[in-house]
Amino acid sequence: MDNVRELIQFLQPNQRLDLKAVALTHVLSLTGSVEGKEAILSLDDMLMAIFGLTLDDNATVSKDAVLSLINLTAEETGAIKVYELAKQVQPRFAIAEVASKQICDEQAELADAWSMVLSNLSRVEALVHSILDTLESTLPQLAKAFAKLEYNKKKCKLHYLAPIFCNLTQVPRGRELCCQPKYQLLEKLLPFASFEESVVRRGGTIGIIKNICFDAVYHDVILNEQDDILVAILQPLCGPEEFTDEEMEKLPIELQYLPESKTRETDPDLRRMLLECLLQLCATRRCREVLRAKGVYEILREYHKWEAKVGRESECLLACENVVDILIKKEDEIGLDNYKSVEVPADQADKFVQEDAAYVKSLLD
Amino acid sequence: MENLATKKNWTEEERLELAAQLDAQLDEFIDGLEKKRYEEGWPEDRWQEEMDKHPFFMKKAPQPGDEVHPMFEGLQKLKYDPEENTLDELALNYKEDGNFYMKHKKFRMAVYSFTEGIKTKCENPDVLAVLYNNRSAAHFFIKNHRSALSDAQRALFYKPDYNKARWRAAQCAYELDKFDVCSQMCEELLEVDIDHKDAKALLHKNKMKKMDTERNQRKEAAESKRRLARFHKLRDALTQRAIKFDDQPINKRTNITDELLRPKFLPLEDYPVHLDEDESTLIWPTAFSYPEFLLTDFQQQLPETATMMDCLITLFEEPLPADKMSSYRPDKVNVYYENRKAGCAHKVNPKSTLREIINEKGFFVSGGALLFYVVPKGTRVEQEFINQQRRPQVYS
Repeated sequence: MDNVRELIQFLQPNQRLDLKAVALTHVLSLTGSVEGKEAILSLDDMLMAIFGLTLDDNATVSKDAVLSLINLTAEETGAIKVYELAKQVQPRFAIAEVASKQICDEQAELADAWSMVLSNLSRVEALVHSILDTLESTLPQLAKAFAKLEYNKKKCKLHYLAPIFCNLTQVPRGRELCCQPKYQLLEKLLPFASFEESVVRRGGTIGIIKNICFDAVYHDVILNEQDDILVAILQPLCGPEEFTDEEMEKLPIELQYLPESKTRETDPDLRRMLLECLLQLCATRRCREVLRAKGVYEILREYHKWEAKVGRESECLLACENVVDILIKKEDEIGLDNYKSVEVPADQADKFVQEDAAYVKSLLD
Repeated sequence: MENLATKKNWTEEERLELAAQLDAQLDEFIDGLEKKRYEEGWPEDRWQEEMDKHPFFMKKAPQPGDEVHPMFEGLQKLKYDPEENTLDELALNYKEDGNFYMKHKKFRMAVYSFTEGIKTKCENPDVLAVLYNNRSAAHFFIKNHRSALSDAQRALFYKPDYNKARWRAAQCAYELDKFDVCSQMCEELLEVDIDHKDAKALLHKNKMKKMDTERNQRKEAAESKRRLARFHKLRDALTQRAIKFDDQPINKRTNITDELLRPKFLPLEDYPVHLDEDESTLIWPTAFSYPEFLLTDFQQQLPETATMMDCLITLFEEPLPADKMSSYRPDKVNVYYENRKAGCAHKVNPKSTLREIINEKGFFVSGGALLFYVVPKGTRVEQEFINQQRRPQVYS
């Protein structure tokens, strides 16, 4: 512990560069282990020194400082500690602001590293509100940085903006900002739900969709005359299968006549999330009718065949069947407007969960 | 005069005398001048024409190529001569001209003027931006969207915050189906002004058009793929049956194309040979010719499984209008086909199916269709048909 404390003196901004660099490399390697991380997080002076070095003139030093921060904020306790301390120190180290500024800077070398820090911090529910307040005014700029590939001129990919947006939509205010028609944020983010090159981007974007779909407030927005969200959900579930012309006409226009080369989402967790989104949308009668009219059943019919044969994930099969079971029924068979209004007694709920688990096991041989 | 000037104390008389003397000299000088008519004025009969030519009074600007009044030329020089103007002034003069033409909706002339302005080699980016932007506007009005777009983009190069040019670039890109350029321009406009209604509307319209266009492209690709697959199946069926075509050299591997299969008989044109829904039976377009009447019947879709007798029964369900003697009944006729390569006719067994007939050694598909000749059995017509001169076709 004392060894760690001794490092602090070498981490001061006016310290000799070589000493700073060596000490910081040591700190960075310490943040890789659980004990090392704990030791550093308990030393406020050490953390403050690291804050200071994140903006060091020397590229190696600032990089190692930010990388250390990524490791330190990886867990919830560390993230809270770092965020709270950054708020208290004098002068204040506005960590979320610094991060967003770096991300929005086309010339920033460390934009990716900072986006990981911000992603770590915003994952913590206790911090989201405060971070959202800081970021609110820069959201359009962040969305632009995200949507424009090669935005960053120093080869930062900015994929981690997707989990950041996903984290921000954990809370109602975040969803509200995201769905505001004025900035069309959502419209810019959605296409990345089927972004092949990065599972981080895809996963984050699908997470945003999930957060929004699980909030019934937005169901009417989602299924309006523009099919953006529905397309974003369905696109990764669509394959190259051909439909008859009548079936084709029902589908949202972006999903019609997909080429032979079309592939499905490779990550089963993401497929399941998308199917869960659809299930949420099945809650009300109006939405179910829209989903039927847009050919969701037809797409899932083909998807189910594929999952059974190629994907082979029983959780996904169950999630798909849950949606299909609802869509396949006529409205007078269902006989109620909102599934969410059904109260399920606790013992019944347990029973259903067990039945589902047993069924999942029997799904694939 | 000097002597006179030096002389002092002029008397009144002397002065008068001198004045009279000078008058006389002047008169004498004038009288001595050559007598010539005043010719530089405008002739009375053509004054109006002259008036129109004079730069002060002309009602129309001279068109390029017109001979211009010398005074006009002078004025032009003042305005357009590189020696009289700085490059900026010169460029701006052309810009003024261009704007004048724009106001009067003479867009081609405006393009010409702005081009001249650009050609002045003026290096002031603001002036160049305006010239390109204005030329872009002129192009836009005459629907030269490609030129309008490239000019607007050049204007933006010289002046990156030129939103008028940006908006026009967006509109042109939309017209040209350059969806990505259009959306980028609109996004940039909205960045400056989030409430730019037109940009927002165009962005949406652009997205819709893009989606539609891309869908149609995908649909077209899917359809042509389907067509190709169908054609391949047909080709395989034809190859498998070793079908021979008389438009093709013998002993060479038949190259089956759409063109080869397209029926050359007008009534059959829309019904080329194809596979039935079962994907195993060929359906043939067929012509039955009656040499006696110089008439031909066309059957657009005959399955290869039908026998010749089947065909004849359908053919003579109703008697031929030209057949007054009722000699054309299914059992009273013979059917032949010609082998044009060997120059002879073969008789068809009515119990054979079309597939079997086509398979015979001497049968060739002719002009994408099957061609048969129908004559009454044992008649002069049949004899004449058989003995008709047939020259073998020669292929190199």
